[in-house]
Amino acid sequence: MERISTHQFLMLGAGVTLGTTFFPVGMTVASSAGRDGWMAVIPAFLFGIPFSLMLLSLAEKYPQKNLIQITEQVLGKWMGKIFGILAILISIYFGGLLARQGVDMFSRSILPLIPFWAFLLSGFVLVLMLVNAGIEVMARFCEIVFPIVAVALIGTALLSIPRFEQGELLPFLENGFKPVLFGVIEIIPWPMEFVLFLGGLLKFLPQGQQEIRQMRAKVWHVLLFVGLLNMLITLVEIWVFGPTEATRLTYGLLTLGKMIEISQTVSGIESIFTVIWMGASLIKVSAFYFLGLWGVQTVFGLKRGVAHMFIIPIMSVIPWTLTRGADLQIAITQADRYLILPLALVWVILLWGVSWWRQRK
Amino acid sequence: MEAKKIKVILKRGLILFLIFSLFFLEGCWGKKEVDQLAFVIGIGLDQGKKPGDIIFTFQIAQPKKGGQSGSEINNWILSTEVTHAPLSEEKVFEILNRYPFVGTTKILVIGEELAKSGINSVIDSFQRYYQFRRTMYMIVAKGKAKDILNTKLRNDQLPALSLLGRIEENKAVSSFPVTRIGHYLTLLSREGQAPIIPVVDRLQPGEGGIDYKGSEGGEAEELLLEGAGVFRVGKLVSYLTDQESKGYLWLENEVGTRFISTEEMNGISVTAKVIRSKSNYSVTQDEKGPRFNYQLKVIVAMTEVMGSQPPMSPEKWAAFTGDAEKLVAQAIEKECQAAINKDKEIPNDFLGIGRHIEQKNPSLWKEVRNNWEKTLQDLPVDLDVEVTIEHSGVDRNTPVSPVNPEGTRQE
Repeated sequence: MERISTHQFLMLGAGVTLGTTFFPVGMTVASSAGRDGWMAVIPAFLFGIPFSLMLLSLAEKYPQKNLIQITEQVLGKWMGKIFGILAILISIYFGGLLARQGVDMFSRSILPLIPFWAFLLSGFVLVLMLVNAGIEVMARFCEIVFPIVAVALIGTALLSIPRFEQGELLPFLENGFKPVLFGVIEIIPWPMEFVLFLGGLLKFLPQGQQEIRQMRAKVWHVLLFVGLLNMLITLVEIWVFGPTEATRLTYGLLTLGKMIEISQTVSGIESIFTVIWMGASLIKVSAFYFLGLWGVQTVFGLKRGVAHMFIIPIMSVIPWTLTRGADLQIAITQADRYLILPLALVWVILLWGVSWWRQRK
Repeated sequence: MEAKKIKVILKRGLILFLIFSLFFLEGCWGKKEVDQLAFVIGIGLDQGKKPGDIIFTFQIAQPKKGGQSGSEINNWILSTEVTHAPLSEEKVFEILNRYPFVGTTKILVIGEELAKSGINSVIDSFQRYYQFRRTMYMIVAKGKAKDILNTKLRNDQLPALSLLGRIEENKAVSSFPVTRIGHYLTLLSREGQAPIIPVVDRLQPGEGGIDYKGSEGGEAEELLLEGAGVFRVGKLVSYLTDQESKGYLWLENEVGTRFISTEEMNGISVTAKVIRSKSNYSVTQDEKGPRFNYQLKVIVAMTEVMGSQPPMSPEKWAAFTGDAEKLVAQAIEKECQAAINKDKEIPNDFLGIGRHIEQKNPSLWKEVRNNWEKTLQDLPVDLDVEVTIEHSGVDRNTPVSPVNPEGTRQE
């Protein structure tokens, strides 16, 4: 049985939570909360903390089991199967959408002529290699890639300082807290993506009391740090473009990258950043592939190889169903809002609540 | 054992496949070699002859073959009349047999006529197409943009590069505003501020107090960046004079370094070099309504004293410096006041007073925003300019010389 260390849990969690959320974050929160959009980011990510802590407490009670197995034990076999199948379908569908989003990013920014199947094919090869190598290797991959992504994001933010529009962030809370609250609601599903992934990851977590304590602290670190990174990007986008323009830009971060100029000699370095963003995209797609794989193995009791045969065709077909970039944005938002959020909310609360109630009895 | 063998065979097969693939992987799809590209440095936009048409003028910098230094470039200029911006690239390819690479475009010159009829729909492509950058500079041409880019400069520099050089060094001599397309778009979406774009004009020998020896025929061979055009909903509605645009720079905190000269007082006038400048603003409300107040703090160095001064002790010189600070402050006030008056006169708030009110007092802005133009015209705008002369160079009073045989100096 594979095991990851608490540090690997931190980096894997951060890599999966961040994923490619930094692409739509500015547009999403600015469209709800205008120039105060940046205030919505951290509260939304912190929303994932109680759910992650509930999952860790379940992992403590039911060691070496994933969420589906725990559900089967606590709520009964059929409930476990129902939640398991839902998780499988959602994760495969969402993984496919995210793969398409990675391609969309390249097509819009630097490589518009490359057919998207070429991206998908090469991307899926990398995802399969990662998944096949196991969760520990994936965690190690995150240990290397996540810091690079974080540094690239911070670097983009710092190099954008000369493009800041004076006083663009003012006034604060011009329309009160309500728009900020709407902004929070818009992106609350994002940390829940991590919560779902954590449900599958429980089986591979360290089991010691001290390690579980450490992981409880690390969940805070993960969500807070990723929230901070996304807040930073949102802040910079609003500061540079203003709220109206930030809302209009599909991937504000890519436009920021194109605006970077160092002195009068260095510009056009966005392609370097784009390669880094591809790493982030790989982590996220792989995470949902893992989730689907674990689900298929648990629910149907299939071997790894057979489970791959089940996932690969579905996951690779989904990107083909969305050839329009505009449809893709809507599909991702809807999947987040109407699939991931309700599933994670209901599943974790129900399971944790029943488990707690039984323990009291 | 059997499985091991199969693995080895698969591995070898994979390695062979990868090596073999190298011969077929020629790079990105649709890749173009450097010598297939035409590097566009500047683009000019003019109103077409047919209604709805746009004339695109591309200034292309092509490295010279066999040039003595690596930086020698040919100047290719090409104008095409099209209905939509991207079609102009097709035309360039048809003529030059090179793909215009617009990722290197630094300057976007907009012809006067087109600017007056509206540019918002024309510039859509410049903010949408992935090759363009939001860091491109915008300039309004007096007359046609095409003529600006076709100007044959005396130093043989490409007009777009010449303009770019001046704009990028703007902080060294801040005498005209700088507007990038990204900044223009941000301001376009603001309710309480209108964008302005610097103006370029062809300068013939002897015009505007500037003379140079041109070639025969009297064609303009220099370009002058001075003043600015004010835009409202994408249309050029008014011009700012040199004085007004300099006033804008003071008030909008965009002065890096520049010179300012004062009016004469008791036969003495002063020229100072600005070292630092910082503007601030406040909004107050009393029984008469809102008031807007600008506060400017400017640090200068005295670079010239015109007139005749007696020899001065350090104490007298210090007193004179205090008076000179007031003179410089008056000169700055004059420029700022010109900008404020223009802002109210148009009335199109290029100074962003409305936006500043929104920043400082959002509830007041909500009250006045619907009737902002009227409110702006009646709004009292105060100005406090504080100048500090940090030093006066290596000397004190003006040069003196003996005027009588006794050797006494002039008073």
